[in-house]
Amino acid sequence: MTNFYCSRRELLDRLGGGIGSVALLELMSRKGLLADTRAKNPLAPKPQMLPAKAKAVISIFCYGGVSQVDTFDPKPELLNRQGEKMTGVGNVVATMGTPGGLMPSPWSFKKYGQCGMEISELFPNVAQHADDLALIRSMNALSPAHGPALFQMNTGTILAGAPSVGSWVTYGLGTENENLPGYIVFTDNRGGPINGAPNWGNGYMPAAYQGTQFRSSGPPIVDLKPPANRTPEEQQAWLEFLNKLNEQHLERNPLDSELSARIYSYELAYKMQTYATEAIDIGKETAATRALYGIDDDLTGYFGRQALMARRLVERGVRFVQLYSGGGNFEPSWDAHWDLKGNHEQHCGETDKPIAGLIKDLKSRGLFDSTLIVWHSEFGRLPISERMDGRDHNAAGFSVWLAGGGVKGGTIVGATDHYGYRAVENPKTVYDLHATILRLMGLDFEKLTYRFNGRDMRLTDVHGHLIPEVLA
Amino acid sequence: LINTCDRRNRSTIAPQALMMMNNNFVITQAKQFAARLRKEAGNDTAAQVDRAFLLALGRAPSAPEKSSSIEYVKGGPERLAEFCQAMFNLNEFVYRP
Repeated sequence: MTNFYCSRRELLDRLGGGIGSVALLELMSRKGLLADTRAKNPLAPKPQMLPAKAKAVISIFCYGGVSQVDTFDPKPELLNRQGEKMTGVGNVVATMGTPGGLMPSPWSFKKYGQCGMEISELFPNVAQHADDLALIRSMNALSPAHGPALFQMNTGTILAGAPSVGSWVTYGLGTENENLPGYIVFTDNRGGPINGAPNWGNGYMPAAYQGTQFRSSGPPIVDLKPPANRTPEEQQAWLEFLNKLNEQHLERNPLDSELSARIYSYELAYKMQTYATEAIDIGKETAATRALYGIDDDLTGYFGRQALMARRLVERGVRFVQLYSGGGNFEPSWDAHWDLKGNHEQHCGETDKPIAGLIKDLKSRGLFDSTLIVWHSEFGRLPISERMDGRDHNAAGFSVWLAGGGVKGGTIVGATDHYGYRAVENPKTVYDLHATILRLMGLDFEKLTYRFNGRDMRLTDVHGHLIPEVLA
Repeated sequence: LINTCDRRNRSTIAPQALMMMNNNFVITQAKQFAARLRKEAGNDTAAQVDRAFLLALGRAPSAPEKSSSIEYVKGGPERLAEFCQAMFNLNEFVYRP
């Protein structure tokens, strides 16, 4: 192999990949293809624009809308005024059209950590890490409907067709492990969120920046396994043959860089057959680690596995991982229009221990300071009741938190009004959140642009301000 | 200059390559293509290769393409179908003539 730079990680990967991948690489470098395809890898790592600690993002998306007044934004006033009409807060949007009276939270709050952050009894394990969280209690979004709100939280705009945050991050930074996709998404086992794949879509960017959906049982990606009767040697021979023909075609079209990029995609695909399977194989994790994530418990098992896989992927240099809690429109999700108590007990119960376990595990492996965790929903829920015991959507005020690399833990930003309906103090938009996520990853949200339709597009469009309070 | 016609984006991603390598539909189609080659070109490998290039790419193979293909197909009984699958995976077939 000539003119071939190989990092420590790559060297280890090559050794682990065995003779097969060495042979393919050898073949490609002998033919002079390697330097070319390598340069064409759109996911090659790029330097940060600004100094930042975080190298990877884990986005925990609680689909359906977490109720802020029942989790991270206590409002004792709701008890004092139980059943009263919510007045003096401007126009109240009840999406489903059945607004009831003010409804106090069925759960009690306690102060946690040095910072004294008040968190409800729904998140007893996450609460143990209060001093690590930067909690924003004054979020607001543009739409109180799931579809547009999901799009806004994921892509910055309420319309379909824009690149998602993970696309912007992988576009800006590439990815560290060239044997795995740079941007990986796990949906809830009960179904995926509405809007589907455009939630992790690349929009107007090249497809290399779209999220790759992994499954958390069986083969992680569709079509990952070669046909049963095809040996690795046979597949190897087949790829060599394919490359030989593609290479002759490339010689006839030397100026089309996309042809070599497509040849490169076969190299990645071939390697992913081995590496993707290994990356999410939790079989060798210790009993203590399994317990940390609640993997052997029916309630926490599924999300726990995904959270542990997220750690394994981040550990292997994957840039952006998104985990969904809550299935689709007709499956259980956080969308508690009725039986708020049952709903949030279930979903908090499923995720509390795994999230706390993830924070703890990242810390013990020295990865917490280089990983940014973002816990969020597409919007919050109303402080008034719907159908007696539920809560309707609320985009006027809700809570999100950040933790990990570059985040100032134990911080509380902004506040909602005394009912917890509208963000009134230091209100923050989704644009602001996105600008801050990019900043924490070492990207300047005003300078990270992608040319499309004659315009330099940005994740935050013409909007957005950093949230300086959460930056360490 | 008023010109907002956009360039096509790259869609060269590994999951697409995996699908073209491993998906059962692609493999079934390759087997059916192989069966058609046997029917239309008989058992002569050179004739099969010529027919495959004509059907898949609308042209005859170049001399190096033809010799590589013949060598590959003669490597084993499953190779004709695998050759057909390679035809479906060619940049020339999928992407650009």
